[in-house]
Amino acid sequence: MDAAQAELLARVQPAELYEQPLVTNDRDFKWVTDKICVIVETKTPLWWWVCMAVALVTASFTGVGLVWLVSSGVGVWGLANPINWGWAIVNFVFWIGIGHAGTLISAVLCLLKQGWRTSINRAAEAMTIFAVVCAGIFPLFHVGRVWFAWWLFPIPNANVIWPQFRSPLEWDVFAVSTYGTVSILFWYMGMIPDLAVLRDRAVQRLTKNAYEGAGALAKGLDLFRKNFYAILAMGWRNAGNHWRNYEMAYLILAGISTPLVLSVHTIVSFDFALAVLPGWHTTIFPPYFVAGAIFSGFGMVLTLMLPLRALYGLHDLITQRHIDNMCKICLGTGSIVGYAYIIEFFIAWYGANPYESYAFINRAFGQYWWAYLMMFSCNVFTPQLFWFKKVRSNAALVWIMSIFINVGMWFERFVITVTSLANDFLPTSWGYYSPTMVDIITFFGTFGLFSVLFLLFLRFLPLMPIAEVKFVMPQADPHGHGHGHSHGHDDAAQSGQGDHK
Amino acid sequence: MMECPDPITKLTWDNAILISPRLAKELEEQQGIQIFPRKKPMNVKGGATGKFFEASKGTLQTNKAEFERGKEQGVVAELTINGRKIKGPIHVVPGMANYTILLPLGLGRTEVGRVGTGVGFNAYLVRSSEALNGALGGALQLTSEHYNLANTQEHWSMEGRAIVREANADYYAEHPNFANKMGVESHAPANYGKDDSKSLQEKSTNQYRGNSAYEHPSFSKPAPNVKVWKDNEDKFPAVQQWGLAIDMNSCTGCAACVVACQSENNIPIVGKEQVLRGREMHWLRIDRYFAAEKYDQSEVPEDVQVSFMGMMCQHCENAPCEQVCPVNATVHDSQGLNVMAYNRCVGTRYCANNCPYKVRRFNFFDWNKRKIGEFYKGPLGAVEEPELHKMQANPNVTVRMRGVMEKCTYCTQRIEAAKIDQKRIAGASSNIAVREGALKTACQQVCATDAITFGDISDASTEVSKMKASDRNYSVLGYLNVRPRTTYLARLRNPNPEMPDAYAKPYAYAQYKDRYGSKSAPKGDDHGAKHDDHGAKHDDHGAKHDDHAAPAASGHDSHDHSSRPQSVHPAI
Repeated sequence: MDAAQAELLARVQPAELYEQPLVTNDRDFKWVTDKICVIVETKTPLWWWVCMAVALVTASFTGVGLVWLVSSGVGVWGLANPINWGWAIVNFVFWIGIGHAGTLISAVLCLLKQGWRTSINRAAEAMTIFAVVCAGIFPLFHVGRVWFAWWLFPIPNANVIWPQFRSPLEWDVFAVSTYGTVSILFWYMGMIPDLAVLRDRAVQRLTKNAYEGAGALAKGLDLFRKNFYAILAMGWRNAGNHWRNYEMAYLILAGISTPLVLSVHTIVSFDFALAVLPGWHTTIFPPYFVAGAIFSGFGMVLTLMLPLRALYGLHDLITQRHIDNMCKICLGTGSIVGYAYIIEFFIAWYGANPYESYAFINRAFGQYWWAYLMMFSCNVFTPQLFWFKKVRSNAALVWIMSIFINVGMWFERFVITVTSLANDFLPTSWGYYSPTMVDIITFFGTFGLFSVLFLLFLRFLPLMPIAEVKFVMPQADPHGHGHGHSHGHDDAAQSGQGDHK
Repeated sequence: MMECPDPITKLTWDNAILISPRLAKELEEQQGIQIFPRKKPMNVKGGATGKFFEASKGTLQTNKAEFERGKEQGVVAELTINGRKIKGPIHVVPGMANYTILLPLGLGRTEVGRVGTGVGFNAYLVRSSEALNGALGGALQLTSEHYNLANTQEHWSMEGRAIVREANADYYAEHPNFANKMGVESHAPANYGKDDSKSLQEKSTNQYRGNSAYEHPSFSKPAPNVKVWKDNEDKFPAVQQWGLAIDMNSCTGCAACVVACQSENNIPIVGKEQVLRGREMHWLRIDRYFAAEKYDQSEVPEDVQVSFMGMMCQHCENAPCEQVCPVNATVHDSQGLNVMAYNRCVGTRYCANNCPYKVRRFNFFDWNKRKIGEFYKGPLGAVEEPELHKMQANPNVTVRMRGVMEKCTYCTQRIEAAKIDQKRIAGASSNIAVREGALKTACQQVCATDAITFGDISDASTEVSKMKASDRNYSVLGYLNVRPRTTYLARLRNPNPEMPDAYAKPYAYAQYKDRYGSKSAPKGDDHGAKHDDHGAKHDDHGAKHDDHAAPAASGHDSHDHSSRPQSVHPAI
């Protein structure tokens, strides 16, 4: 800065650019550690038991549905010629799509150094993994002979029969299993320092032996915690070289996951785009599916995080800024999705293929017009409300809209899968698909399964990355460049970890 | 037989009171009970919405072209004739004479076995010795009851698509190539690349199959890599290439082929309840289309022409089913057959989704093992495999279990039997090519009008090659470049121009022209150079006029034919 500039600045006196802090109310590191650890360490709240019971009952629906399916045949679902893929594939794409927000938050936003990701990334990653678990059920069980589903894996065998590597379903096997694996690795690895914190806190309490009032049970639980988290923490000692390796590994995994954000749903979209069916055979599908996946994923993150924030009083950690940002991502991706809906029609008209143009007109106005209307209104109009700050700052409204987004995205997959199959080339084979009770309970049950897994996560694992949240706090940056957070990670982390020892 | 769809109504497992659309409409108005499906948003007439749909080529009018939610819910009516009463569901048949009621006899029996129980209603009750085959003065009273009719075809219209291609005989004489100038193929024909100009025989042996990523042997050469047979290559004549042609001129839609196929290939019966769900297993089905003179689906037309098309696996050389199967369960063999490896199939059903012809059939339940009606009980349901049923099955054909896909095989068991037989005849000689006539598919064998021809297409002298060499020969959905081995010969109609109901174009063709006819096609094909594409009016003959050498003044009064050339082509 030369003298002239300095003089100019002195004269103009530019206002300090205010950035809303990511942790509000000037909390210190200890507060953050306590806030997150106490969720795990405290007595199991009653609501948790209630939710768990409800979730388990709901999850059993999937069990019943699948037992019926496997024992009788795929016919218990509503499928028939020509609609050979129905709810199962719709649900698969729906759940897989939801997972994308977790990966986007943990990988892409990490590489882009978006500090606001820290307080939501752990839960979003957990959501990703549980969503992949739910998603995986459907393609596995929708096959006619599930006991032979392992033939989709390239296992060397005496007959030298291999899977067909040109089939998009085969690519799905690899895409989804890679996605699941990398997501679990990422999630687990990011959790190691926090698991060590939980271990150390248990050790600390055991050393102090302050259990007079609480009795033997509390001590026993801490003994369990000590060992449980010790195993999971894999000997994390908070050493400088641990942090160096951790940071590097995190970066590498972020690098690996970033293409997965794009590739998984691209490959899922290939299931449709590579077929010859009018309405499926569309080059726009990969970007459109990826945008839709991120859209639905953020919708689900909002659906989960807003109640959690209220339940656990996390308002200082998940601030209005976080909600704003998530709403804006929904707005952006929702607009891409809306654009895709419209451009599909243009291409169908421009392509001048009668089968194609029919497929699209039929989609919007044919026998499934109600599904299209549902999809269009939920996915195109809902996010547009996020332009308004008033809407974004009304948590209840945002939560309701996030549900709309989830519903709309489910209908999008329904519209794509079913309407294209129902009315394809030869009008004589046209049909109409209605789900059966088994379809419905199987899908309904996956929400229970998802909830069971998520409740277990809330109860036993740190809901937020303690260390990473501290990175983005002003205290982590003693040099004082505003709220910069890309700086001095190691110091911050160590001091953050240190203050409860 | 109960599950074999009626050729016209496509009903299975039931009979119905058949009435004409006009009668149905009048009954609706009179008695206030809805017979036709409800109106859909696409069917708006007039106004901005209506104009938008009319303007777009993808016009959809589902209103009366499709059953509500894919199921035919027949209104139950009470029919009174001469004081006798019966009750049955109504089915509207376009093309029936107005105010005529048709009652299929023979159903609704009471003393029957398993199959006949609860099937249809007994129409004999209104038949008396005074009026054996027809009676006057019936009265229909609609009730508010509905009855599910297991109809295998939920949509009656061809939607103006170039699926069944038809023309009048004299039009064909002038435009012999018309069948290949229709549909998307008129500007985007199947693309054979460097082999485009080759003959069918060369194409059939040159083309790589099923879009394989692997190296493929040359099918016209001796078996590769067999050193012991060196200098004995004449022992390996080229593999025969199977193909099938269906002449829609001859097809009457009788569905004998459907039944023959069913019994030859051990195709399971699934029962009414499953047919209602659309799970009938017929490998070969007869598609029936009704076409009215104008493309308008807001009403079920009264005056229709019916087109039939037998549809089964087309054995595409570039089969879209093959490349989507994740486990290689459906593949091509060296004879050009698209074969199913039942043992390998895990049942993703992706192949069926990607089949443009929707001819693949999935075993949703253990059709062969479980009793009809107890499929949903799974292992708790009765297992029914009586010895008699087992003895009914063709021992040369695998009985498929649940969870696998199946489809037409071109009667692969017959092909193999013929090959074995020929090898026996050939003895030590290399004369092992199956002779023409020694092999017939089941559908071909029963076809009363010889509409189906099957044989070796790598030999130009076979009957099937000759059929395929016809200028009427075309592939359904040929533009997809799937290169089906089954092709169709366009149908020709030959209306008597002196008759009042003579027509310039078969209705199916007129509808196609109406919806998709090109405005700018070059002279010489079936589109007139100055042809205007206009919807409802019938004055396109003014434009067509110009390409015809001899526009004649004709005597008959139909405005349609005022400019119709009076050619003297004999009927085909």
